[in-house]
Amino acid sequence: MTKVILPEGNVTETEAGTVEEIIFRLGFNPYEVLATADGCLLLGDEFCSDDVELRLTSIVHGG
Amino acid sequence: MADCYLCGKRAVFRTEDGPLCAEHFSKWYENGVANAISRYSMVNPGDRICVGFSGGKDSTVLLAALCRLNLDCELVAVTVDEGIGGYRDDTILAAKDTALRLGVEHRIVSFKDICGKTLDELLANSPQAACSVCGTLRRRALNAAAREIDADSIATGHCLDDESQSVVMNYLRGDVTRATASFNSNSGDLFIRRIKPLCRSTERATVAYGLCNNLLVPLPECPYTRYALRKDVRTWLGKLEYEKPGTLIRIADGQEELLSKMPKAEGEKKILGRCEKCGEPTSNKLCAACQQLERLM
Repeated sequence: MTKVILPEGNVTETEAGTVEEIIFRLGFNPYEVLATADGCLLLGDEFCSDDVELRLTSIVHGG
Repeated sequence: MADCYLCGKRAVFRTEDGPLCAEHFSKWYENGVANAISRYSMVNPGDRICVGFSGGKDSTVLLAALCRLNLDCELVAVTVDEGIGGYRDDTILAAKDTALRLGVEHRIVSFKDICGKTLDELLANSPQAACSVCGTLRRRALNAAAREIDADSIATGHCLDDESQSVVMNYLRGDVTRATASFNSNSGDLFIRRIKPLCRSTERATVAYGLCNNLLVPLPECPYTRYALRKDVRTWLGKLEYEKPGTLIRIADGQEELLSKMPKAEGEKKILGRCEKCGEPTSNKLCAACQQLERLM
């Protein structure tokens, strides 16, 4: 399972897949969320295997 | 994994031209900001620019990008402390840290300074009005700060998404005055010029630039955001931008073209005077900020 840190800081696990598949599966719009692993931005079609820790950042700002 | 189409390194962002690595993406983003500045003649040599700097994602990227562009101008970052419990303190700390790292003069002004109360105190009985009240008072605070530092312009971190959302919101509200604002307002020299260097850059690219350049720290969301119409419009347009890329720029370009084709409605021009209470520019007896404060205090 791929570990995912959600934008608000909660942590979840999901099956391996491309960044875009994982973002969709977790209920986010891929336009509104950016994914990083080890501090590096990932493209939507990159495959995330089980050993990857994915961090999602919302592009939406405060007010 | 895709490679940068310019150098073959690992790509981090897909532009309309192709995938780019972190270095080429950063250059591409900065060029976009420089092109917007040039397209709308935002900066003149020697300008002193008051940068509205909340410490959030957009204004942090704005300040960093303006620094990196090496424009012939002086930057002063101004943070407005609205007094929002559990939110603003963290962003002010982030703002102080970023300004220090970038070597930019930084000032903080507060709602408490300009009207004696925090936003939380003003909204105790009407939180639904938060964004409207906050926006009006923040403009007042930024104008006052910009005058104090003798600024030629005020730069804000509004990006393409904000601009397109505003176009749609004006139509949803039936607000023709705002929808045609650039033609029926006559601010003369009373207002300090506003510039939006990120107005052609998407929010997605803006945040990606911040992440690529280690500019962003996790910050809390404003607790009042849930009351905003903008939140619904943002979600809707975000969905459209994903399904039909280019939606946001088409809305902004369409609005610009529409306004350019409209005859200037001389009869509708509002001549600005001064607010009877505070002296700020207004077309009414009282400016919007004083009207808001009269209702709330």
